[in-house]
Amino acid sequence: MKTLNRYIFSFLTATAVLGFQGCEKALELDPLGGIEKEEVFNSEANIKSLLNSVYTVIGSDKWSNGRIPQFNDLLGDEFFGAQLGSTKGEIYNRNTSVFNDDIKGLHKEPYYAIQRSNQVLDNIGIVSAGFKDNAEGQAKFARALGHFDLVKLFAQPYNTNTDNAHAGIILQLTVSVESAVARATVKQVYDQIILDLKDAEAKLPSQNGIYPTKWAAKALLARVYFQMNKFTEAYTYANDVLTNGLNVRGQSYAQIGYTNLAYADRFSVAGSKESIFEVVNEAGLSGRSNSYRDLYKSEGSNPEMKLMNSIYTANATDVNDKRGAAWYAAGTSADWKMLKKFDVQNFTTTLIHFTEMKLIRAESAAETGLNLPVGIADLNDIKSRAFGAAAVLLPANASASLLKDQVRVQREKEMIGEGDRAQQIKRIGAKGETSFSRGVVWNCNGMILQFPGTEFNLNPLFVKNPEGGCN
Amino acid sequence: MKVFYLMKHSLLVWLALITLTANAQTSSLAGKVLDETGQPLPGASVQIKNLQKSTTTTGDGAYQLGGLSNGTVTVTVSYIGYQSHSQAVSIKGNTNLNFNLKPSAESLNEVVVVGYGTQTRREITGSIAKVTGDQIASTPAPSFESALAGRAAGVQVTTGSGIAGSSAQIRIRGIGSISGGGEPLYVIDGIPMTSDIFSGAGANGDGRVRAGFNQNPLATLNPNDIESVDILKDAGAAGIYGSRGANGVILITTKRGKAGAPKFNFSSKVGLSSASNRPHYTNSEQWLQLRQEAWENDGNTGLAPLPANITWEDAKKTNTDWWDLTTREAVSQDYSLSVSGGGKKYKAFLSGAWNDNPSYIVGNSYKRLSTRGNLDYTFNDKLSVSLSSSWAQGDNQRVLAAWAGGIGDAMSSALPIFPIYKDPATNDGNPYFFNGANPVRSEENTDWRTLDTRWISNVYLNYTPIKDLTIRVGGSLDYNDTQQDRYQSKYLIDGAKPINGQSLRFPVWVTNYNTNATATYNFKFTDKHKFTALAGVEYQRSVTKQYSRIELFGPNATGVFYKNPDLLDQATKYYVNDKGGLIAPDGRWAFASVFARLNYTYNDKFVIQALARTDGSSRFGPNNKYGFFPAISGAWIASQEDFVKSMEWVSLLKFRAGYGITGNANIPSDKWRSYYKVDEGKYGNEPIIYPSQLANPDLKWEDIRSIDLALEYGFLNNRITGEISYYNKKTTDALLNINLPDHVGYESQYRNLGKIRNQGFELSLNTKNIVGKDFSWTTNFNIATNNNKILDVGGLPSEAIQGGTNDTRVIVGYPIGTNFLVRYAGVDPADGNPIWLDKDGNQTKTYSPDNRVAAGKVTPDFSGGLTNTFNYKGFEFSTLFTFVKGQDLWDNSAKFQFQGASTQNWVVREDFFDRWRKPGDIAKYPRSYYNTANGYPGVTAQYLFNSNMFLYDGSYIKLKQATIAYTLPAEAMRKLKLSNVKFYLTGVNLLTFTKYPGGDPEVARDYENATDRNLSANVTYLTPPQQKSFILGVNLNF
Repeated sequence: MKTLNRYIFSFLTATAVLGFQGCEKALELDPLGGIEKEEVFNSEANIKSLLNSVYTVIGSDKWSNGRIPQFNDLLGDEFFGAQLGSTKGEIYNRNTSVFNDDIKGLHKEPYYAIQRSNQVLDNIGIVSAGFKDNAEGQAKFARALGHFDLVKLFAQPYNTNTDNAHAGIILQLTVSVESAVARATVKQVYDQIILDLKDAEAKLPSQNGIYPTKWAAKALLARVYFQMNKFTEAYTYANDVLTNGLNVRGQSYAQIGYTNLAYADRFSVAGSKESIFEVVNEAGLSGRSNSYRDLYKSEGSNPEMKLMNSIYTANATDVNDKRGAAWYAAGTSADWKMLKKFDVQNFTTTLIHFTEMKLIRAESAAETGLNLPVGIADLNDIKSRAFGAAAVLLPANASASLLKDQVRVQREKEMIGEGDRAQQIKRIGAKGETSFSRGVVWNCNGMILQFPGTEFNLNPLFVKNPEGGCN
Repeated sequence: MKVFYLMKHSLLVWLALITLTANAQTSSLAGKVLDETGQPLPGASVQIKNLQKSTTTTGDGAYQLGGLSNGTVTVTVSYIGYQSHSQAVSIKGNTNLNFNLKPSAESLNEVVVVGYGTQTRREITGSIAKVTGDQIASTPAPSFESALAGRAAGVQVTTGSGIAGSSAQIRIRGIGSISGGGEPLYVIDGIPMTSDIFSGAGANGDGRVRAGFNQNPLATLNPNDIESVDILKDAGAAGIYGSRGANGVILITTKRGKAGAPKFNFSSKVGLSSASNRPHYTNSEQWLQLRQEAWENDGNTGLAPLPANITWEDAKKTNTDWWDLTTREAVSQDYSLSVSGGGKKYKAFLSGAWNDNPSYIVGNSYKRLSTRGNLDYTFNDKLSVSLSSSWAQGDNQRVLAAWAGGIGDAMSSALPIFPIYKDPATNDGNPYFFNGANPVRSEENTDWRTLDTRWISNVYLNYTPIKDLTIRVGGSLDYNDTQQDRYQSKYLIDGAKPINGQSLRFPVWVTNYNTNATATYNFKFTDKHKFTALAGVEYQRSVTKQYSRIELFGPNATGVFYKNPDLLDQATKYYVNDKGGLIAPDGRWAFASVFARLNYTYNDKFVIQALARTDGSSRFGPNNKYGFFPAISGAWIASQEDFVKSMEWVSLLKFRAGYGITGNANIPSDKWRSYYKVDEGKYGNEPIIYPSQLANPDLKWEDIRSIDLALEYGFLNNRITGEISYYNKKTTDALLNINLPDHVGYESQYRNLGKIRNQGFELSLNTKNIVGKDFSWTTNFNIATNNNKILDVGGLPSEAIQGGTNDTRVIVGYPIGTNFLVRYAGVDPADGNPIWLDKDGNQTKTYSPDNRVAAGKVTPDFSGGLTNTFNYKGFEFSTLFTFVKGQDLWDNSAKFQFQGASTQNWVVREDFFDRWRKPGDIAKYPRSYYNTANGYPGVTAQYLFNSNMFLYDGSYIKLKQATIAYTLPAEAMRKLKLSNVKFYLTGVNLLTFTKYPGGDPEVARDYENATDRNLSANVTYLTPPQQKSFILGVNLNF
């Protein structure tokens, strides 16, 4: 018994002593949730991975694979949303509130990409010369895309006022967790977007695998300038892309056989030949683009994004127009129709394409009155692709205004479901033309989204958008 | 039955071992120790102190003390839970004498389990409520903690729903946390057990939280194994648990063996259950009529469009009663067998039980198979060992509920005009209607089981090197293996063109181990000065391993994994941490602690207790790694004073006061560091790295300072007993999960910013109204008030704090869970539009969120319980009423059910029929509309229609339980060779008195985070009502 007692006593003493000594160590648990900051910024491979993560954000359901096209389309005049309730109904009814969770998700998403891009830029010093320009170009491209997609939805368009001093969005240009930041003006936002894209244009290579190229930056610049109604610059960039540019797969516009290209190509699994910038869909993942598809698909005959009967009649009933059969479905409802454009599972999400460049170049030509034949040829290419031999082409001597009208019609047909229409209504309105979306004027309060509470609750400098919808 | 057979055999083997060690005895004074009903008390102590002779009674209550000489001796008989009895006995040869002990529920010598030991009632200086195992075992409940409802003052138990295996929400003395967990600490046989309902949820929210309710890890515990539950409520009691004691501590003590011949207990129950309160909704015709009315109110003509492509013709022909299709009457069964026995050295308690508790929701059940072996062995006077081991398996057949669908759909978006089945030929190949909610489709195409296998074991070595010094060293393991398998067929996954099924497994393994060592020393200077000192160290660590999911998706996914294990070979495993591991960042934590307690009693009248604990935890940031938690408390037993003793009607008067600091460390693990997440092959088959968490090195426990003042009383020979107490708890450094502004690029961050106060009074009153030979009536009543107030949130606006899904807010100056709503003043008879009140109380017809005010609160002013027990000969009739007063009930789904005929496309609850239809109508509710754009001025969307129109008075009185029982007379039992036979019939949730029209007012949503759980105690969103059940049972002792 004595031995046992001694044994127990020693055990207890040892436990107590080791217990205290081991205390500190016993509470230090290894980090498991990833790696800590110092480790991230000590290798180029990590910077590459950080940059790579930006595209998962751009391609998320809250951005390019869903909400950005959808929310734009809800503000436009092509979709039937009278049966939408809740958060989506608010947008469709053009009367959004600070509580809209879907808008919250959308507003936050681009800032994730912007934050990561800024971290890359802040640490560009550790990137080797061979990749440095590429990394900087990609980061600035993503930052510009994020700011641009936000400013279009949350601020009145460029040219709403002559000085463009109206409130834009928060420009986030450094790595900072400062809460109190005021909205930049629309002019400041656009200036910054152009600055970033011009840097990207200069630094990105011509071909860059699945990542943005010099041509993607130029194409986005064309889109930005066009949105600003700066037609000379828009023409120049669109023209450069169409003349000298390459698609994601390294082919030039001339090489893709544009007028014979099937319409199923635009949102296809393999990716579009038209695509200048796209978000890939991972093999094995259950579909990055499925969130986009689910909103618009005709399968199941009950998509959230239902097409208006009138748009269907205008776009899909001409049997000669191949887009009718390729992209539209009648369904059984008397109240609405559907799109088939996004029916393919696991499509690669085309974000900027040659057709858009042609539409920009053609309309810019019409607006400036310069290079009209080029613009007319663009329009006729688009028509020839759609109607084949039955195409009614615009004569070479057509007027600029006729060209503009016809380009706008083709734009609606081509860009349907890609979130383009609402921004055209705004752009045209800001330019001074009469412009309405489903009966409300282009710049009424409800045509832009209200900011979510998450942005301004902790930000005393933030000024919300005016409310009250468009009534 | 096979299980039974095995159990019985293993029990017999154990018994053989136990009885072999029983001793022989000598004689001089002999007899039996019996309880108040004449039943033997095995294991009672019989002592002749001045002769240093003692023994314990055997299984039939018999004792023998030998070697005595004739003369008078003082014999002291004691037994836990009974009043000690001392008596002068004159010994003449072989003397025979029986002792009858009286129960000592109110006695100062009653033993109460406290942290790391036991104390007598006399020594207790903190607030502790005790609930006996009998009370728990006799209450049919989804899990043992539900059975605490109405039993103890200041312990509010809300059984949230009728779903099998779901959890109850327990709040002790109010809610002291916002984003930190508000649950008490559960300690079983000395070991803090895994009780986190969010456990295993993992970094990405997978795991337990799914389908609209959280699975309850406490449900594997067999209530029949519980000896007692002691609830530590204040710092004086819970302070010994330091940084984990702030929300109170629930100490569960399981049954242990008692010396004597083996005593068996067998109990069996069979029950029938249904929904306690069924909500009523529109049928097809009513719904279509409302739809058309809404359509026309918008100024439209013609027939209203119907959802999901349904034609009017088809809609009129269909009238599906989805509630009927998703509910049933369910039969439950429960069998439990235990044996207790032992000799001089061994004591053992062994049990086995099987329980099948299906809920009234079709497809939903919880089956539990459990075994327990608690063994004590005494080596010698100095050394003993005790072992407790339990193994249990909970098989939960799960269904979707609430927001996730299933019965939730039957209460919302499954419209009566929707069919169940369709011809696949005209339905894209699917035999089910799939363009709208179809709970039958989801039930028939889902096979979903969560299997919890849980093993809780501990071993303690008790060593007494010198008299009055006990050293106790122990270790424990609480291991839980949860395999959640869900299969959904192609008809559910795909809808149109069904091809792909989905088989999922969410495996979670929680290993929670604990080692501790304590030394307890009792010493006294004279008989007047008694000390008990305790010192100890403890280390606890918990590791949760899990896969994010194991998934097989596609045409090959044809069944649930547990029935088709070969499918696992084709499945893909998804990891929870960036290095491909099974441990999520928040999946582990550790505590290392040192603690001490000194209890001093002067002359059996004054007691002072000081305690302190230092806790270090991996959960706290590097700048606040260790916390110190002291408490001091005292008591004056006035009834020991001569001037009180002279008042014969006073049996007990004890004043108590205590002050101390406790902490709440129920905060998510690993939130203090900064993280960049790494995912392999997430874009272009290349890895991604991204920032996911901002660091907060200052992160720490929540700090609660509490004052407790109390009076314990007993009058008229303890026929009236009870306690009155006041408490005041102030939380500082309350944890808030802050939403960071969007432009920052991070989601949220935990910060210690809040201040909260809880104060209230508690009263318990136990009376023996009638005590007769054949008839007796006792009453136990308790009531507690709570006043909760948020004092500070670091200047943040309430919307900056995460959570608050249910329109309850954190507002300084108001209680936690304040309903922040626009006030509704009625309908304008002219146009049917609602009239609102603005912030200043003026009427307005334009709704604006700017007019939201603190319109109510979901926490009660007071709550309590009333138990009455009547005994007549062998019959016993008892009732338990629970009541809650002064709380509002926010029905978050009602705003959709109210305008269900609009584009919301929901069912409409019948009480909303009282609506405006034409000018001049005086109605309770405003006009209906089809599109929100044509709705009420200022309302932008239905989900934002947050007004007190849907805030109900949540007060209720409930007949929670009524039991009629019959115990066979002793004579009959002897003939049957049984020692006790009891039959009973129990009804649960029989009657509810409430003003709430939507079902059961005792309701809680289940949430994905602690903030919502704290803020929204009494909120429903399609929560299925509780069960009403009738149970017939028998209890045999032999």
